[in-house]
Amino acid sequence: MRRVVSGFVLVAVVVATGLATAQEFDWQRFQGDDVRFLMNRHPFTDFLEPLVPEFEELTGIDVTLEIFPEDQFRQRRLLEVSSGAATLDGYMVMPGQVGAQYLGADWIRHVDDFVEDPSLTSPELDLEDFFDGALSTFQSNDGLFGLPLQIESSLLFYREDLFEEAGLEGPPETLEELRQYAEALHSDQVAGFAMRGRGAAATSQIVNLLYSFGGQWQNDDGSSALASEESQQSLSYYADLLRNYGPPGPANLHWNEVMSLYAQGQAAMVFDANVFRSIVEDPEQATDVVRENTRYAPLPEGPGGSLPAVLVWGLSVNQASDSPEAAWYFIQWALSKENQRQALLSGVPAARESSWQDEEFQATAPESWIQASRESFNRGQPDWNPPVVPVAEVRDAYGQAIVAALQGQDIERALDRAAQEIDRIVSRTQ
Amino acid sequence: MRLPASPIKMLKRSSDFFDRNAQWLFPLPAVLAIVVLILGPVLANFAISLHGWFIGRPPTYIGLQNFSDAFTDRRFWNGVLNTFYFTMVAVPTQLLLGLAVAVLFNREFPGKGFVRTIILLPMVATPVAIALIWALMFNPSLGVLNYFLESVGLPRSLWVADASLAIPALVMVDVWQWTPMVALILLAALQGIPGEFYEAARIDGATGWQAFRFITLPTIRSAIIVALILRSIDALKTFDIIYVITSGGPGIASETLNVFAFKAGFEFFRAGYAAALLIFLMFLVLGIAILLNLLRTGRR
Repeated sequence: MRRVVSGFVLVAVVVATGLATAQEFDWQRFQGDDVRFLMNRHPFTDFLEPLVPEFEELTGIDVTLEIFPEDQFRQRRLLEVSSGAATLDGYMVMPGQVGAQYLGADWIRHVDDFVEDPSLTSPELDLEDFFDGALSTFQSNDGLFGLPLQIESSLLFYREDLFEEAGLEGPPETLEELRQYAEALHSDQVAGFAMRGRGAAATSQIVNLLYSFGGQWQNDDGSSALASEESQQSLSYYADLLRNYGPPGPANLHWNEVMSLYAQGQAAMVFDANVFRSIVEDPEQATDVVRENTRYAPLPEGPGGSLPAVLVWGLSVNQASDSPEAAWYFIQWALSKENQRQALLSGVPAARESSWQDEEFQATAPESWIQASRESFNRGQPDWNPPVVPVAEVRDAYGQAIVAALQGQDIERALDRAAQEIDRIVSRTQ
Repeated sequence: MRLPASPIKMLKRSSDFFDRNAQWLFPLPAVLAIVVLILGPVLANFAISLHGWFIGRPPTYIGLQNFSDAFTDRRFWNGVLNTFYFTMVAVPTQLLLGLAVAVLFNREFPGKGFVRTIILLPMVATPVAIALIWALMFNPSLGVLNYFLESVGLPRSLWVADASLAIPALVMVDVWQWTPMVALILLAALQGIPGEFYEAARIDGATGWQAFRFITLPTIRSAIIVALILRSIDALKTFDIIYVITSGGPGIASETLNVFAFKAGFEFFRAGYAAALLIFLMFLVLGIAILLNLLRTGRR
């Protein structure tokens, strides 16, 4: 018996000294735990999935990533968090989308107690390194509730070869110039410009125009500001652009339609999330001429400036999780400096400053993309969604006005109706 | 060596018990399944429909408010209209085409077995997979349907991207998928008609059309109504193909009651309102099924 005990002591001493010399932080502390994360089918997930065995080896924690396309992912996540499933330990989340709802219902675990505990948070995490704009979306009045995995903003993708053919120089710098360019580039085979038009899905893109025309989601009293003069101007600018210089059937365009059109060389310019550079550079999805001639520019300036919205995805710990510490381990590892750097190298716009400063990255990514992205992050507006609880229904109401505008209906009336509808929707959850 | 008597007795007693009560013990699992999986959710749905419940907030009892809200909701009426539009175009088309296919397969021709298998394929494929493929084919710029139209010299169509074409295009998918089922039901009925009927008709000098009109149709009438009932119920509550291909769009141009209820519940998180919408849908489907069933049993 004594021999066994002394054997344990010996092992413990060896392990302890080994750790002390290498690293204070014990990655093996939750060895044997299982964690399950719900993930959106997203470039970040595609990047992370093959690396998971590294984490399992490092920590001895068994990881399951359940991956669904976005709509199903969101329904599945809602079902699981609202039923209080303890086997769900964490999930991908976009605070600008469901933050108000998830925090209000207490479905997200705040992690300040983990961050303050040096035995649970690796000294290498370095919260300061995340872009302020990205980290601040994960801060509520009660503290930190997750970590950002990427910061996104929409950019103008354009074909330099077609610009040259049409005698256009450089990217359009104002929205009026964008319209002129679209007109010059438009033909029967190639649309001058494309952008989302599919109702609710289009609101996250058109908000860039809303801001840049000087519009806002809400008035100071919290009522919808979508009936404002600026909002009308932005919507009629948008409808004019897509109806005259867009592809057929713009009211059906979601991001994948927009990006396929562009990748197949059927649109000269598109405006959508910068993360879709990965589609444009993929030889299986994009034609050679598109891959070689694509350049990027920030949102052109409107009467109110160039004010793009930023989107932040991140990872959070499920409130009901039965192993929140192991989940936090996974999040720290998944968003470590090295993994964020690698993610960025694979085309996911990581949320860490250090990743963007990396020389290897600067050499691999198109200069215009880096430049345009960082400019957008600097000017970014946090609310890419209306800051209300019933986000989806409000987006849907705005989406109805967008579709009406694309169908050539009266814009002022459509927006008046949307604003009234939105006030009614918001009042129901107050 | 004697076996202890009591276990045998017990076995015998319990077997007596099963013998005596077999008439309700056998259906018991089915009854339990129905209560747990069907009756329970339906009752829960009724209870939820009486509440204002934004998922994530505590529900509050509001009586029949959800139902009266629905009556003044433009979108509810749009959903009802679209539901009827979809069903009333899709089901008769399927019946006509299904009847034609059934009559065709009721004859002998070379390669019949092979062609029959091919024709049945759409029915056995997963609706969501089918819908995804059709969505790709409908794409106005990249889809194969417009390529076909152009290659025979016809103008391109917007398909589901055009508000006025969205439902007809969805009907096309539904017809493509479900005509085989109608054909199968009607073929079974056709094969039950004795050949003597037609021989007698021929002797009396009836034309082919007359034989079809006065022998075939009346004989398979109840099979036609069964197909009508089954397809109407299904069409009224069609969800997968509509949700995947158009999500009810453009705007709300192809949004049926079912799709609206789904969005209200799972996208807008208005559980109470969605429950109320589904109760409307349930009575709608039930009412039509009862009506059609009367047609079947009423005039005989």
